[in-house]
Amino acid sequence: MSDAIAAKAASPAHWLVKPAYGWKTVLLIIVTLALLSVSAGRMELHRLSNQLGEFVQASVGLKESSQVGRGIASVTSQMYPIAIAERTPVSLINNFDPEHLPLFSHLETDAVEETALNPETLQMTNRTIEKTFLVEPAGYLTFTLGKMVETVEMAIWASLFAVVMSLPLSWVAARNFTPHPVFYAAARTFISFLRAVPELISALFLVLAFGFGAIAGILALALHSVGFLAKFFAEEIEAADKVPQDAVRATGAGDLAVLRLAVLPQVLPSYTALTFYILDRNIRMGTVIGLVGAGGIGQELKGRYDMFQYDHVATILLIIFVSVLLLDGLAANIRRKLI
Amino acid sequence: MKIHAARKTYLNGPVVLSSVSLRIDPGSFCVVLGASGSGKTTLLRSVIGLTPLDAGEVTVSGTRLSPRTLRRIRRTIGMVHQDFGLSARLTVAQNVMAGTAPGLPIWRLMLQAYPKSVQAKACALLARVGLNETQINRPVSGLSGGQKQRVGIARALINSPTLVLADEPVASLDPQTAHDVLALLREAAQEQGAAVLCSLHQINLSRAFADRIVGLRHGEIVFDGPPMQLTQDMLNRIFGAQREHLSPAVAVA
Repeated sequence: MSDAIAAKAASPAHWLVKPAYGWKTVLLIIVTLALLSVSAGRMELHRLSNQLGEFVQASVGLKESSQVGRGIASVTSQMYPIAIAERTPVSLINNFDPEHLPLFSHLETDAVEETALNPETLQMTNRTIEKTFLVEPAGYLTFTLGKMVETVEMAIWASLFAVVMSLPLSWVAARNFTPHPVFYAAARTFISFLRAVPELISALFLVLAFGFGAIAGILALALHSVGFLAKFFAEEIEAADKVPQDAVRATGAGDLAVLRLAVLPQVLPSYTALTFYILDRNIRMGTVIGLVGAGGIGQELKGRYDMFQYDHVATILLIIFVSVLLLDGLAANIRRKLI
Repeated sequence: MKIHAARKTYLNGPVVLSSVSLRIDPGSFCVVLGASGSGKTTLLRSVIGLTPLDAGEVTVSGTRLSPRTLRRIRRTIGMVHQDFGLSARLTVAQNVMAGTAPGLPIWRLMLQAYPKSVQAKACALLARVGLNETQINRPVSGLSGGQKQRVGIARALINSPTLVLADEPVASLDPQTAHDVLALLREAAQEQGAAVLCSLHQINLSRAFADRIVGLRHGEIVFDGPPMQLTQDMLNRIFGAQREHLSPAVAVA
């Protein structure tokens, strides 16, 4: 009898294939949907669907206009044409010398209506005055490009500082080389803390401490980068092949020599790749942290945006977009070659 | 070099060494023969303090191995490793010169700027082990297994050691290369007046090169004598009875 049962169980016709999705999966989906619907109410997502619906209706002609459409239209119409030339009133330039104009620039004179108080009659009068402008055809473009270069410089310095700080920190934060477990714990906590503070927030405070400009930006980027680099550097040290390390240690060498002779040659390619990743990231973040006054092209962007000069904003955005794209590709290329 | 009553047990593991005592005479070539897991590697690593012993003591040239003397003793011993232990991205010459690291100032290490005397010695040793000038400035990763172990031997000898430990130095090499490399190790060490303590699992190689064979089984010395005393009976004691089905001819091949 039991033989028959065993034989039945052994036959493939009675095998059970475990279903890919069970009741746990169904429960998980229900709970997730419930949580999302609660959150959707808090996020006012119904407004999103209303506005999008309105926008779609307006764009196919069912409705006269939509809020989203009007917003986009007003910004884009002000963005185009983008600002390329720079027009500066001559009266605002110190020691202006009309005989020696900057390269490729020329002077333009416009008639400008001005309302002024006549001191004798004490009445407002309109008068037309001639104003001379120095026009540099690509002035704003080159200025903004200069700001972008400044951002890249900030990113390079930040990455450099981050590497210099991360190298000794990663030694302490590597379990197999740390001088003492207490140092290990302290270093790991410090590194996690640096990683936990977003650069935009540390930049806010660094601007208060160091004033507006690139220094605050460099420090903010560097601190956050250390949080990443030191962690990954330490993990590379921990994962390095032990055989060459034992071999160097067997000669009577200390930790520092083992690190230099057996660990560094192993981890160098990934260290370089990580550094390039951080540089690439710092360039992207560098454009953003200028928004809080920490230097670079972001600071220019924030200024123009606050003055509603959307044609200048468009130029800035274009330059950021193109340069990040180019540098991204370059960094990715270098990284691929190294790994 | 003297090992006295060495004992080692790994946590929750078997006894790796139980009361092993051994004395190596200057200039001799002593082979520790045994199967995998017999404790050969642990024995060799304990001499140089890479694996600390649970009990027993190691004395090298009259100095007892202790945390205080560890680094000093290591500088008088060269070691050849089973997996070569070379830094693949450093050049051949840099790997050999790395053997002198403990005696050098930090800045020389960091910049890999070795003194002329060290460079000259490294070149002489590399020539001795059969490498030529075009190879010494290339990364080690480009060498064959046999060449890598030749570099390993050169590194082990650069500090003019009194003892060379060789942990399965030819385990990953083909028979002919293994023979050549062991012959080189024996000759080069003899020229420098260094004793060799070499662990092997190949019976034929042990017979061919050893002045003395120490048979290790389950962490105990079961044979100690010159190669000519290594009879089939003794081999059974070292490798266990299941090896009987292997005829000596196969074992030697």
